[in-house]
Amino acid sequence: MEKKSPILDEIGRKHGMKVPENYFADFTEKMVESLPEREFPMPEQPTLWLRVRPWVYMAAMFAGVWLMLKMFTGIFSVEKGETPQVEMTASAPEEGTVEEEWFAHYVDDYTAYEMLYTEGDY
Amino acid sequence: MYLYRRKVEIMQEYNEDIVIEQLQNPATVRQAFARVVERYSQPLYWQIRKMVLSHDDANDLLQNTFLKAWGSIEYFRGDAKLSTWLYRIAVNETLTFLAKERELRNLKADDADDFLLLNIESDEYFDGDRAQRLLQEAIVRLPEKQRLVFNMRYFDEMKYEEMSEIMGTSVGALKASYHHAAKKIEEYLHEHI
Repeated sequence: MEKKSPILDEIGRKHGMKVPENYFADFTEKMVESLPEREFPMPEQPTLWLRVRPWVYMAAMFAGVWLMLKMFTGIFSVEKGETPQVEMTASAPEEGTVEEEWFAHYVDDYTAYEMLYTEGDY
Repeated sequence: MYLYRRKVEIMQEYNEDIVIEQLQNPATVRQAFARVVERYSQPLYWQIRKMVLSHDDANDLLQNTFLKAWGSIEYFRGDAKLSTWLYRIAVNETLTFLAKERELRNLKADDADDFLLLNIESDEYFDGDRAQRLLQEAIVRLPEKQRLVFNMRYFDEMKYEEMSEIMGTSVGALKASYHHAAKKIEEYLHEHI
């Protein structure tokens, strides 16, 4: 709430300024006559892309939401202990391969002969 | 009586939404702009006149305001109110004019625009009494922005929200500005009456 001012209230809201007679009526007439001629560009027709753009954006948004849902439901099912349907990439080694590898890398000649004697092959 | 009747007629005939629509159509823009001039020349004139005090300067600035508006009418898209857009142009024109006048007289931006009082004294279109003249003297001594705020609020009783849109200043800052202006004016009047 604005504070009342006795001195301003006494003077009032009149400013004492005036205009020539019929000033505003004449002004409008003169002003409109003096407006320069202008060429205004005709409003452009929207292109096909501009018309379909909102629908494309909306479709992209729904596709994004669908992908996110797909991703999150996959993550949550793994956390719950469900096995994700992941393709197996490892395969079982052929029979005998592991034993041969072990022999080649970890067993020296002495140990090898000792094993052979123990098994009674010699 | 005629003026009052004419004003009522304009208010009844004038529909801002229709006029804005017509302004955006090249076929009807000129006719619509004529209605805008008819509708807004008075409020804009008084806004300018109270800042520059001289009728001749106010008349020139009002013409410039409408010429600027006409020159850029295609950029008005109806986002703001038409009145706000026109007031903004008028305020800019007025402030630019005052800045040029100050420059001519080697005055700083903060100096009181005392030279404007000469306009009142020599203007045949001022017939205010002593109190009204003193009030104008007090207003002229205010900083430019405070003067603008005081005129809009005190004489036109414009809402702070509308002033805020025109001047791009917050409502709080405008209220403070008006309060300071009114206080300074009261002090000046107490000293001189």
